[in-house]
Amino acid sequence: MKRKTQHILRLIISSFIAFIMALLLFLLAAGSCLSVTIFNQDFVLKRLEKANYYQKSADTILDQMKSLPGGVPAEIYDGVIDADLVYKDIVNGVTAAFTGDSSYRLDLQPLKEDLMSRFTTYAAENELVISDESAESLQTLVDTCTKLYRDQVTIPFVDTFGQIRMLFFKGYTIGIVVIVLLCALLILFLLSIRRFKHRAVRYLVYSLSGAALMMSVFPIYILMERAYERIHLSPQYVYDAFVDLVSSSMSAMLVGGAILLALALALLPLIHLLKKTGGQRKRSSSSPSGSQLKS
Amino acid sequence: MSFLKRKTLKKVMAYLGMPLLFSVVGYGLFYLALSPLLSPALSALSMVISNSRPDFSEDIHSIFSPQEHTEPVTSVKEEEVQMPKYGAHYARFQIEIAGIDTNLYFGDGQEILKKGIGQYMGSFIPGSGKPIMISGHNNGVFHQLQRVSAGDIITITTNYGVYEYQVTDMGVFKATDKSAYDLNQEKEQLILYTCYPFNMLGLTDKRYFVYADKVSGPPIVSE
Amino acid sequence: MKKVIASIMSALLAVTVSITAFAASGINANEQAILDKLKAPITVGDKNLTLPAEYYNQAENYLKQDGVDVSDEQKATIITQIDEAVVIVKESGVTDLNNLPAEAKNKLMANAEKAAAALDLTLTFDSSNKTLTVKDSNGTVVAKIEKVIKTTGADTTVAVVTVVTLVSLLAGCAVVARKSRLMAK
Repeated sequence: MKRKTQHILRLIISSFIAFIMALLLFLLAAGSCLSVTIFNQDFVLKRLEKANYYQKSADTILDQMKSLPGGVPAEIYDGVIDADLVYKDIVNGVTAAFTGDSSYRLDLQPLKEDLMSRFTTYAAENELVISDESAESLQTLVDTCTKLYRDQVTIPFVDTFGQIRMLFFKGYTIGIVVIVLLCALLILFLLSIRRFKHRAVRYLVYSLSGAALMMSVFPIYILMERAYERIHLSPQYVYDAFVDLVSSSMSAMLVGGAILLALALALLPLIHLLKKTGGQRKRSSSSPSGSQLKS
Repeated sequence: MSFLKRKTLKKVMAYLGMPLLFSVVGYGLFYLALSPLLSPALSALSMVISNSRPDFSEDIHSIFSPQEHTEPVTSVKEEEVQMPKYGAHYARFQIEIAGIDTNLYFGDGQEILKKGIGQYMGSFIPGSGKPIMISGHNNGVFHQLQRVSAGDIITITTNYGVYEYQVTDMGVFKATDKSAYDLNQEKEQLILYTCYPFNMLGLTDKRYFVYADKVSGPPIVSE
Repeated sequence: MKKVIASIMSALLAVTVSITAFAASGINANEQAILDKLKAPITVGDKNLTLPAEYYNQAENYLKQDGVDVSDEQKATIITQIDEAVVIVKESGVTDLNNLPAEAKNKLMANAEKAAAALDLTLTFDSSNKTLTVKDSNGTVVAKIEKVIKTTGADTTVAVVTVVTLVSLLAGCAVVARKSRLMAK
């Protein structure tokens, strides 16, 4: 009876240990995926480039400036901004958000000066007198244009996302160490309570497979259901960038799941080998001797 | 089934069943732990996700096709009026004395004001007996609004009737001054506005308002 | 936040029905009841909060749209949602909706989500000019709002409890294993 109770306890504890390891391995893999995808600055900026985000942003800003009833012809704005300038400012903004640099301010002074110069040149060429009132109005126009520019090069919710990212990385480095140590401890514990080592490794395979499944089910569901393609974001280039970021992040998670599954499968020959070599822990002096192959 | 086969089957089931069990329980735990944290974000997200992909084609379209009335129309039934949707060109707007003859759209977004003048969606269509607020750029059609004075007639031709409004007042107000208009009133007042001054270089926070009261046109009546 | 809530309350009216007719459907009795509800002020302390005319009017215009007719059942659902939202605002005690506590905002968000799901509404966020547009399932614009949504608060209590429970269970396993002499010496 005591043997049976021990057997059941061993089964329950082994299963629970394996479950906890599955959770830890999933957290490790998911965290790693996040750190190389959406929380990775280069990844995000490259995906934006792929969606032609910078050029389209520049076009939208110019279009909005030209739509302002500022009393100047639309041609005045041609060349005031371009995709390279937009790219530079977006990169700086994302970097600042991702690194938590609260002192970063978008430098709009060159743009303000350029715009004012264009407006005053236009006025001079057309012999328009700039009174105090019109000087103030011109300044309002310049401020409105630079606000349009700032709003457009500031990616929506990037500050909030940056804070989440900072929190993530604060815990990530320590988290990896803790998870690896915990997993090591749990493996040792599993090995210590299992008389036959191959059975302990079997539980490890369950953990890896469980983690692989957890890594895969969610992204597969998201990629198949495609709810992210039905998100109503505009303009279209913002929508395209978002869709691309989500789909590539989900694909990366699938790769993570595949790696975990590969590790699980790689352990199967080890189980076979351990079983063949009869690897088992030494019997304790209190347990009955004999050649019974009981776990 | 032999003992060996049964044992093998048991092992295979364990290799499949255990990871599945771990996943189900694991997802359940994550859901339990994270749902209060994520639920506000998920609620917001669910409101921007619909059953179909977003349509990026232009909203602007026309429903304007005025009909000739042989007899004067005293009223229009509600079911005979096609309520315009955002971006619909639904009427013709004229101020003869100022040389204004343009399309009137429902909505006043940027893309609409590029094409003509737009009626604010928080106001009403002609015949409703409620305020109609229309805007246009001062470097476009509404540049001529400065030529309008009290007593002038404004005509809005819709599919369901022709409406005339007589200008009562003009004024300059700040864009943020809510005393410049009353969208709550139970009177069909036409409120036109544009940026001011008209020939100013630059942008100001002032707006030029023209107010006109309805003098003729069939009211829209419910049954 | 104020504009979001106002838009949600006005968008609570947007019910989609298959469109067959091309005439203004007018305001039926159910819709009028809802409009009356929206117009009613919310009294908080000695202040009366009212829905701004621009949102109320957009709601009324939408209800007049072709084929938009609110049934008795839909009216009951919408009025329930409006009532719940009103209670949340009243219980918060704030007279400025921007000062709503995180919990109240979360409740309103959940309430709005229920209404939006039931009425098949979608919000479109335009990042180029930071506007929010409410559309029904046919793509008809219900209302336009010109302020970006503010982020809401989060409750971490349950997450902490779950982790603590798991850790306790792990520790318990070690104790049980030792006591049952499962480990090798």
